[in-house]
Amino acid sequence: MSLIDDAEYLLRRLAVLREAEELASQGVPDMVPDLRRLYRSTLRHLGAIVARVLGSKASMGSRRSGPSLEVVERLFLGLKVEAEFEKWRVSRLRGKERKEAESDADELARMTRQAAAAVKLLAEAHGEWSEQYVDDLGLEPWL
Amino acid sequence: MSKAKGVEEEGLRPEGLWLSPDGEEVPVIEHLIEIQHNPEAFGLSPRDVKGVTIENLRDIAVDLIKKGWTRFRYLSGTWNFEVDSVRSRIDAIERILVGHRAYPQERVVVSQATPKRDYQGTVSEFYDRSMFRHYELGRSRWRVT
Repeated sequence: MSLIDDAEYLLRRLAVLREAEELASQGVPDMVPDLRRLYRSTLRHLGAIVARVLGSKASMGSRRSGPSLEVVERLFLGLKVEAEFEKWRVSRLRGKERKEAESDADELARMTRQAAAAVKLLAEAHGEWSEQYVDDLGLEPWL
Repeated sequence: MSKAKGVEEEGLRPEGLWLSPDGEEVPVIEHLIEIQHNPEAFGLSPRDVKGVTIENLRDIAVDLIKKGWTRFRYLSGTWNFEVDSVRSRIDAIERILVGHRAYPQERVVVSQATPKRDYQGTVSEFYDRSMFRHYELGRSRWRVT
Protein backbone atom coordinates (compact mmCIF):
# COMPACT_ATOMS: atom_id res chain seq x y z
CA MET A 1 0.00 0.00 0.00
CA SER A 2 1.16 3.53 -0.74
CA LEU A 3 1.26 6.27 1.87
CA ILE A 4 -1.91 7.90 0.48
CA ASP A 5 -3.71 4.53 0.69
CA ASP A 6 -2.61 4.28 4.32
CA ALA A 7 -3.80 7.83 4.99
CA GLU A 8 -7.19 7.15 3.36
CA TYR A 9 -7.56 3.90 5.31
CA LEU A 10 -6.89 5.79 8.55
CA LEU A 11 -9.35 8.54 7.59
CA ARG A 12 -12.06 5.90 6.97
CA ARG A 13 -11.24 4.39 10.33
CA LEU A 14 -11.57 7.78 12.01
CA ALA A 15 -15.00 8.25 10.40
CA VAL A 16 -16.13 4.81 11.62
CA LEU A 17 -14.84 5.44 15.14
CA ARG A 18 -16.42 8.89 15.31
CA GLU A 19 -19.79 7.60 14.26
CA ALA A 20 -19.49 4.57 16.53
CA GLU A 21 -18.79 6.92 19.44
CA GLU A 22 -21.89 8.93 18.63
CA LEU A 23 -24.03 5.78 18.52
CA ALA A 24 -22.44 4.35 21.66
CA SER A 25 -23.17 7.56 23.57
CA GLN A 26 -26.87 6.85 23.00
CA GLY A 27 -27.00 3.12 23.80
CA VAL A 28 -23.75 1.86 25.32
CA PRO A 29 -21.99 4.85 26.96
CA ASP A 30 -19.40 2.59 28.65
CA MET A 31 -17.78 2.12 25.25
CA VAL A 32 -17.30 5.85 24.58
CA PRO A 33 -13.92 6.31 26.36
CA ASP A 34 -12.44 3.25 24.57
CA LEU A 35 -13.66 4.49 21.21
CA ARG A 36 -12.20 7.94 21.84
CA ARG A 37 -8.87 6.37 22.84
CA LEU A 38 -8.90 4.42 19.57
CA TYR A 39 -9.81 7.59 17.68
CA ARG A 40 -6.91 9.44 19.29
CA SER A 41 -4.36 6.72 18.55
CA THR A 42 -5.58 6.51 14.95
CA LEU A 43 -5.26 10.28 14.70
CA ARG A 44 -1.65 10.12 15.93
CA HIS A 45 -0.91 7.44 13.38
CA LEU A 46 -2.52 9.57 10.66
CA GLY A 47 -0.45 12.56 11.74
CA ALA A 48 2.74 10.57 11.14
CA ILE A 49 1.53 9.44 7.70
CA VAL A 50 0.45 12.97 6.73
CA ALA A 51 3.88 14.28 7.70
CA ARG A 52 5.50 11.63 5.48
CA VAL A 53 3.16 12.34 2.54
CA LEU A 54 3.70 16.07 2.68
CA GLY A 55 7.38 15.83 3.62
CA SER A 56 9.40 18.96 3.90
CA LYS A 57 8.54 22.18 2.19
CA ALA A 58 11.72 21.82 0.15
CA SER A 59 10.71 18.44 -1.30
CA MET A 60 7.22 19.72 -2.05
CA GLY A 61 8.53 21.81 -4.91
CA SER A 62 10.60 18.96 -6.28
CA ARG A 63 8.94 17.02 -9.07
CA ARG A 64 11.23 14.05 -8.44
CA SER A 65 10.83 13.46 -4.70
CA GLY A 66 7.66 15.33 -3.73
CA PRO A 67 4.07 14.05 -3.79
CA SER A 68 1.87 14.60 -6.85
CA LEU A 69 -0.86 17.23 -6.88
CA GLU A 70 -3.50 14.48 -7.16
CA VAL A 71 -2.22 12.75 -4.00
CA VAL A 72 -2.15 16.00 -2.02
CA GLU A 73 -5.65 16.90 -3.22
CA ARG A 74 -6.96 13.48 -2.08
CA LEU A 75 -5.32 13.93 1.28
CA PHE A 76 -6.73 17.44 1.70
CA LEU A 77 -10.27 16.38 0.78
CA GLY A 78 -10.21 13.43 3.20
CA LEU A 79 -8.82 15.53 6.03
CA LYS A 80 -11.27 18.36 5.37
CA VAL A 81 -14.33 16.12 5.79
CA GLU A 82 -13.08 14.62 9.05
CA ALA A 83 -11.94 18.01 10.38
CA GLU A 84 -15.38 19.50 9.68
CA PHE A 85 -17.15 16.61 11.42
CA GLU A 86 -14.87 16.80 14.45
CA LYS A 87 -15.29 20.58 14.68
CA TRP A 88 -19.05 20.13 14.56
CA ARG A 89 -18.93 17.39 17.21
CA VAL A 90 -16.91 19.62 19.55
CA SER A 91 -19.34 22.50 19.03
CA ARG A 92 -22.05 20.39 20.65
CA LEU A 93 -20.04 19.52 23.78
CA ARG A 94 -19.68 21.53 26.97
CA GLY A 95 -17.25 21.83 29.88
CA LYS A 96 -14.44 19.34 30.47
CA GLU A 97 -15.65 17.05 27.70
CA ARG A 98 -15.37 19.91 25.22
CA LYS A 99 -11.89 20.90 26.35
CA GLU A 100 -10.60 17.35 25.81
CA ALA A 101 -12.29 17.01 22.42
CA GLU A 102 -10.91 20.35 21.24
CA SER A 103 -7.36 19.03 21.07
CA ASP A 104 -8.36 16.34 18.53
CA ALA A 105 -10.29 18.85 16.44
CA ASP A 106 -7.34 21.28 16.57
CA GLU A 107 -4.94 18.55 15.48
CA LEU A 108 -7.14 17.64 12.51
CA ALA A 109 -7.55 21.30 11.57
CA ARG A 110 -3.77 21.76 11.72
CA MET A 111 -3.21 18.80 9.37
CA THR A 112 -5.92 20.06 7.02
CA ARG A 113 -4.36 23.51 6.82
CA GLN A 114 -0.99 21.89 6.15
CA ALA A 115 -2.47 19.84 3.31
CA ALA A 116 -4.24 22.94 1.93
CA ALA A 117 -0.94 24.83 1.89
CA ALA A 118 0.67 21.93 0.02
CA VAL A 119 -2.19 21.88 -2.50
CA LYS A 120 -1.69 25.62 -3.09
CA LEU A 121 2.04 25.23 -3.58
CA LEU A 122 1.69 22.38 -6.09
CA ALA A 123 -1.34 23.79 -7.90
CA GLU A 124 0.50 27.06 -8.43
CA ALA A 125 3.55 25.19 -9.68
CA HIS A 126 1.34 23.29 -12.16
CA GLY A 127 -0.55 26.39 -13.25
CA GLU A 128 -3.82 24.97 -11.91
CA TRP A 129 -4.46 27.62 -9.29
CA SER A 130 -7.56 29.74 -9.92
CA GLU A 131 -10.65 30.99 -8.10
CA GLN A 132 -12.63 28.12 -9.61
CA TYR A 133 -10.05 25.61 -8.40
CA VAL A 134 -10.21 27.00 -4.85
CA ASP A 135 -14.00 26.87 -4.97
CA ASP A 136 -14.16 23.33 -6.37
CA LEU A 137 -11.97 21.95 -3.61
CA GLY A 138 -13.48 24.06 -0.82
CA LEU A 139 -10.00 25.33 0.02
CA GLU A 140 -10.84 28.85 1.07
CA PRO A 141 -11.48 28.31 4.84
CA TRP A 142 -8.26 26.32 5.18
CA LEU A 143 -5.76 28.69 3.58
CA MET B 1 0.67 -1.32 6.68
CA SER B 2 -0.79 -4.00 8.91
CA LYS B 3 -4.31 -3.19 10.03
CA ALA B 4 -4.82 -3.23 13.77
CA LYS B 5 -7.67 -5.35 15.06
CA GLY B 6 -10.64 -3.23 15.92
CA VAL B 7 -14.02 -1.94 15.00
CA GLU B 8 -13.48 -2.53 11.29
CA GLU B 9 -12.57 -6.19 11.59
CA GLU B 10 -15.45 -8.14 12.99
CA GLY B 11 -15.42 -11.21 10.78
CA LEU B 12 -18.66 -11.59 8.88
CA ARG B 13 -20.40 -8.68 10.53
CA PRO B 14 -21.22 -5.71 8.32
CA GLU B 15 -19.74 -2.51 9.73
CA GLY B 16 -22.40 -0.09 8.70
CA LEU B 17 -25.43 -0.14 6.45
CA TRP B 18 -28.25 2.01 5.30
CA LEU B 19 -31.23 -0.29 4.84
CA SER B 20 -33.78 1.03 2.36
CA PRO B 21 -37.54 0.81 2.98
CA ASP B 22 -37.54 -2.05 0.44
CA GLY B 23 -34.87 -3.95 2.32
CA GLU B 24 -31.91 -3.11 0.06
CA GLU B 25 -28.62 -2.93 1.94
CA VAL B 26 -26.30 0.00 1.17
CA PRO B 27 -22.92 -0.65 2.83
CA VAL B 28 -21.34 2.49 4.27
CA ILE B 29 -18.17 3.65 5.91
CA GLU B 30 -19.98 6.52 7.62
CA HIS B 31 -23.68 7.17 7.16
CA LEU B 32 -23.70 10.93 6.58
CA ILE B 33 -20.68 10.86 4.29
CA GLU B 34 -22.40 8.13 2.23
CA ILE B 35 -25.41 10.40 1.65
CA GLN B 36 -23.09 13.14 0.42
CA HIS B 37 -21.05 10.81 -1.83
CA ASN B 38 -23.89 8.71 -3.18
CA PRO B 39 -27.10 10.81 -3.09
CA GLU B 40 -28.78 8.88 -5.93
CA ALA B 41 -28.91 5.73 -3.77
CA PHE B 42 -31.24 7.66 -1.45
CA GLY B 43 -33.43 9.16 -4.13
CA LEU B 44 -31.61 12.51 -3.93
CA SER B 45 -29.85 14.51 -6.61
CA PRO B 46 -26.23 15.71 -6.38
CA ARG B 47 -27.67 19.24 -6.16
CA ASP B 48 -29.48 18.30 -2.92
CA VAL B 49 -26.17 17.65 -1.17
CA LYS B 50 -23.83 20.14 -2.86
CA GLY B 51 -22.28 22.48 -0.31
CA VAL B 52 -24.44 21.23 2.56
CA THR B 53 -23.31 21.58 6.16
CA ILE B 54 -23.06 18.66 8.58
CA GLU B 55 -26.23 19.92 10.25
CA ASN B 56 -28.00 19.75 6.86
CA LEU B 57 -26.74 16.20 6.35
CA ARG B 58 -28.09 15.20 9.75
CA ASP B 59 -31.46 16.67 8.84
CA ILE B 60 -31.42 14.68 5.59
CA ALA B 61 -30.58 11.51 7.56
CA VAL B 62 -33.47 12.18 9.95
CA ASP B 63 -35.79 12.62 6.95
CA LEU B 64 -34.59 9.35 5.41
CA ILE B 65 -35.28 7.51 8.67
CA LYS B 66 -38.76 9.08 8.76
CA LYS B 67 -39.30 7.75 5.23
CA GLY B 68 -38.53 4.20 6.34
CA TRP B 69 -34.75 3.95 5.98
CA THR B 70 -32.86 2.18 8.78
CA ARG B 71 -29.43 3.26 9.95
CA PHE B 72 -27.40 0.31 11.15
CA ARG B 73 -23.94 -0.12 12.62
CA TYR B 74 -22.31 -3.15 14.17
CA LEU B 75 -20.06 -2.17 17.00
CA SER B 76 -18.02 -4.70 18.99
CA GLY B 77 -20.80 -7.15 19.78
CA THR B 78 -23.59 -4.57 19.65
CA TRP B 79 -26.07 -4.31 16.78
CA ASN B 80 -27.26 -0.70 16.64
CA PHE B 81 -30.35 0.29 14.69
CA GLU B 82 -31.98 3.69 14.24
CA VAL B 83 -35.54 3.54 12.98
CA ASP B 84 -38.57 5.74 12.85
CA SER B 85 -40.87 3.14 14.36
CA VAL B 86 -39.87 -0.23 15.81
CA ARG B 87 -43.27 -1.64 15.00
CA SER B 88 -42.94 -0.96 11.28
CA ARG B 89 -39.26 -1.96 10.96
CA ILE B 90 -39.12 -4.98 13.23
CA ASP B 91 -39.06 -7.47 10.34
CA ALA B 92 -36.27 -5.55 8.61
CA ILE B 93 -34.19 -5.59 11.79
CA GLU B 94 -34.80 -9.31 12.20
CA ARG B 95 -33.69 -9.95 8.60
CA ILE B 96 -30.38 -8.18 9.30
CA LEU B 97 -29.78 -10.15 12.50
CA VAL B 98 -30.65 -13.48 10.88
CA GLY B 99 -28.94 -12.69 7.57
CA HIS B 100 -25.67 -11.69 9.22
CA ARG B 101 -25.83 -14.48 11.77
CA ALA B 102 -25.94 -12.45 14.97
CA TYR B 103 -25.02 -14.51 18.02
CA PRO B 104 -27.87 -15.00 20.50
CA GLN B 105 -25.91 -13.43 23.37
CA GLU B 106 -24.87 -10.32 21.42
CA ARG B 107 -26.49 -6.98 22.22
CA VAL B 108 -29.15 -5.18 20.23
CA VAL B 109 -29.87 -1.47 20.65
CA VAL B 110 -32.81 -0.04 18.73
CA SER B 111 -33.25 3.74 18.82
CA GLN B 112 -36.74 4.70 17.81
CA ALA B 113 -37.39 8.26 16.63
CA THR B 114 -41.17 8.43 16.97
CA PRO B 115 -41.81 8.50 19.86
CA LYS B 116 -38.20 8.83 21.02
CA ARG B 117 -37.25 5.67 22.87
CA ASP B 118 -34.28 3.29 23.09
CA TYR B 119 -34.75 -0.46 23.41
CA GLN B 120 -31.93 -2.74 24.53
CA GLY B 121 -31.51 -6.45 25.00
CA THR B 122 -29.78 -9.52 23.65
CA VAL B 123 -30.39 -10.94 20.18
CA SER B 124 -32.36 -13.77 21.83
CA GLU B 125 -34.49 -11.25 23.65
CA PHE B 126 -35.09 -9.49 20.36
CA TYR B 127 -36.15 -12.72 18.63
CA ASP B 128 -38.69 -13.60 21.33
CA ARG B 129 -39.61 -9.88 21.67
CA SER B 130 -38.99 -10.00 25.41
CA MET B 131 -36.67 -6.98 25.13
CA PHE B 132 -39.81 -4.92 24.49
CA ARG B 133 -41.94 -6.33 27.27
CA HIS B 134 -41.43 -3.49 29.74
CA TYR B 135 -42.38 -0.81 27.26
CA GLU B 136 -45.68 0.63 26.28
CA LEU B 137 -45.93 1.07 22.54
CA GLY B 138 -48.86 3.32 21.80
CA ARG B 139 -52.04 2.24 23.57
CA SER B 140 -51.36 -1.46 23.83
CA ARG B 141 -48.50 -3.40 25.33
CA TRP B 142 -46.07 -4.98 22.84
CA ARG B 143 -47.46 -8.37 21.91
CA VAL B 144 -44.98 -11.21 22.26
CA THR B 145 -45.27 -13.25 19.09
